[in-house]
Amino acid sequence: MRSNRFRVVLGLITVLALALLLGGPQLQGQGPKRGGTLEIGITQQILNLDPHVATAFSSFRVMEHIYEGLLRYDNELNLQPALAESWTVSPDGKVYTFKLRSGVKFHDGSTLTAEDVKYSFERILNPDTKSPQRSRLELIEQIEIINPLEVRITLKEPFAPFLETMALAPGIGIVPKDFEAKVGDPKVKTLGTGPFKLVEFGPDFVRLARHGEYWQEGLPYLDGLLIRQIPDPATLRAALRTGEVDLIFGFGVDVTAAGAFAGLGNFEVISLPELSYSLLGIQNQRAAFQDVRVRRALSLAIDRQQLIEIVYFGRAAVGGPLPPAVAKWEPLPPSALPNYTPDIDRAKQLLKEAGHEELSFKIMPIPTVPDALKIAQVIQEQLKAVGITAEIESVDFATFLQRWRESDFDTFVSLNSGFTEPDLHLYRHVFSQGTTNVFKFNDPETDRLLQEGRTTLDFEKRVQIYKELQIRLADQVPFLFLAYADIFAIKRSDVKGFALLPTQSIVSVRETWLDR
Amino acid sequence: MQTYIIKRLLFLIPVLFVVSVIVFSIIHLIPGDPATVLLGTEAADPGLLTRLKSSLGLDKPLHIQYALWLGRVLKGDLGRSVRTGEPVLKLILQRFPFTLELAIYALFLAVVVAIPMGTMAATTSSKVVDIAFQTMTLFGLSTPAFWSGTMFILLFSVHLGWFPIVNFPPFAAAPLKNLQGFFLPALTVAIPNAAAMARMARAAVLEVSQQEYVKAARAKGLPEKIVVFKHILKNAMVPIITLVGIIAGYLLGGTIIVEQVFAIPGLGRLSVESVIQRDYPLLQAVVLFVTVGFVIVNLIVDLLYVFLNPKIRYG
Repeated sequence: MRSNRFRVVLGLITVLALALLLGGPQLQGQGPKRGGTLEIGITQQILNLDPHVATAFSSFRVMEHIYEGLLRYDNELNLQPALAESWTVSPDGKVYTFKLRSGVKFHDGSTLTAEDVKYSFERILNPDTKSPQRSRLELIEQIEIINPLEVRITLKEPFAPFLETMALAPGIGIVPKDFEAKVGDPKVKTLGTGPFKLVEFGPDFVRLARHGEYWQEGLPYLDGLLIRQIPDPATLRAALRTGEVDLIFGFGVDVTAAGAFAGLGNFEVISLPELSYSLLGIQNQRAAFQDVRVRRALSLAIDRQQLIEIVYFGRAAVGGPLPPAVAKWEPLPPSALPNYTPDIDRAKQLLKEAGHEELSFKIMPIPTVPDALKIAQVIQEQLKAVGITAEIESVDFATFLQRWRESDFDTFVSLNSGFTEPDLHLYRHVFSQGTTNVFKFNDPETDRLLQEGRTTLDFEKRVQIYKELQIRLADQVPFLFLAYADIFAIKRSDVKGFALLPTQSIVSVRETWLDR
Repeated sequence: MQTYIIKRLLFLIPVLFVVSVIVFSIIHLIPGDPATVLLGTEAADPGLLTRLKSSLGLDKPLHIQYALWLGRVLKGDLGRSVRTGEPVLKLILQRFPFTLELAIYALFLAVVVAIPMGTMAATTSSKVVDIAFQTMTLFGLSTPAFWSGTMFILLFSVHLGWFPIVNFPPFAAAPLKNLQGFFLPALTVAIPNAAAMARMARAAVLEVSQQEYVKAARAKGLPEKIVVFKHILKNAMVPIITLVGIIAGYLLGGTIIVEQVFAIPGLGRLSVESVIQRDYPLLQAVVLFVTVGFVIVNLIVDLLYVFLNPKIRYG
């Protein structure tokens, strides 16, 4: 009897051991593990979590896990359905009908309906919300609720990038009806449909927890997300080294940081070309810059490739009007763009023709972008070769913004956020009435091409229009597109399934898991 | 004594008033305003800016804005942060514990090292010890915190793994972890201050040692220990305490660079952020808060004199 029992136990142990030996490792490698908290470090302060009002990079990196749009971008920046399951567009491109996913829950357990969508867009459009996103939806004429899961949006005129706009969450994110009444203060309280919900908004961190009723079955894998601000880039890197954070990205995580982690075993460096670009903004109404020859001379005098070598250690692409990373819109290479091949003699000649041989002006670098000052310094040096004296004018952030807004500058160096879609990428900066055309650039031909580009629905035709526009912009030089730099994220090797998007978005954390 | 304290505290009122007027004027004189910062480079639409400014009351004349602010403060309402919309008092109280602990910890480390060191340097007859002392304090005084802080992190956290880098649990919840987490920042703050205190201690002890009564004490054959601790050090403490008081006042205002390097969400960073973002109500409140702290610390120092030197009396 006793020996029988012994045999059974022995048999069981053998079976278990075999199972562990054979099946164990396979089971382990079989897919994402659930649970755990991913700790992310960034250098910038997290300020405001109202999706329709916030403008800071850090706010977006938090809100994008809480709020979703009707559509979303996948990791390759293709449009995918999100809160809208499907949609139809009328042949004239003016009427969009969205069918909402059924059973989508907000973090408070209420169900998403067409009313919430209508409310969200109306909130952005309401002047009292003071939303910087408002201009993106201004072409909306009417929002109708067809049934609880269907909403129809009619535009004043065809607007080709409308679907892309619908993917610009959290800025164009969906909040529940009577949002403000429900949450109190949306700057610090949130209520969305995203994979994570806000648990705590501390003085220098935000703690998010898994949304248990998230519409995408099984996601997210993580139990929680902690995003904390570590303002000093050196400390940020050290915290990753010691394992106090799992992932770092954003300002301060650059080529140098990547180099420091490249040889270390337990870390992985992710890098990819960005959509944002550094620029030398030019006030086109300043006496000297009214003459297009002077602007062309600037473009010819600046060696963008050399600038990239010095500032970005080669990790950037020379920037034309469209981001080199989005191939489908056929961005033109520098060689195909006028005024892009450095030519000192031609620049000098143009300045002479324009009567500005002894030109001098000021460059104002934006203080919040670490590379802006370096860029200004390189440009200052390069311009000496054509006899231009540039003086660098350092101002603090609020001063910069005020002067930027009032077009009170000769030139400035800054970073413009980029988009996959050419209209979103260019329109507001270079259209004569564009909301961020602080350059006071006014070119009827550019305006015509932009207008044609956004009202034409055929993709191939649009590509041709934007090809023409790229050449026009390089020729007219509203400002200097300088470089599309690489962006970096560094993570511990046991953080799996994470991808950085060229928009710097980290929405992929909903599919991220910890192999611990 | 009591009337003195009340008088001193009443004196706070004009001080706070003047400080608030100065801060208000300066921050409004420089370019930029919170509405502009709120919008960032996302939209240059002037209508949006006008609406935002008027909703923040920034379209009113400056003196009216000040009067409105003062009226609210007198009613006990310090206002709300423009950036986060939260009551500024809440933001300050959220961050003050970090600054307070860092200040106390750093002062403790500094005093514990500096006073014995200074006393020893003053009473030693060894040239080598004195030169070593001078070199060390000079080094301490001239080492910038952004460098020493970063070096401490690299050495003690990254390479040796003795201290966490960004881990500051509340003292009540985990006292040991808390003291461990705050050690490197406190050390970084303590070093230059300890150097200053040690030099002050040395000078003060030397000066007091020359006094007739010290000679008398020695002449009557008192052991050196008693001469130093009872007769010299107690009297030398007056200038040292003054310096400690001033340092404490500064530390309570937040140590911007150390808070930045060690990612401590203290008052120093809050005040810098409020300036950068032109968060007027927040900046005003932080400055008033720090002013009150400074005045109270100074008052405490003045009261301490009475215990150290019975000749000092406040009527």
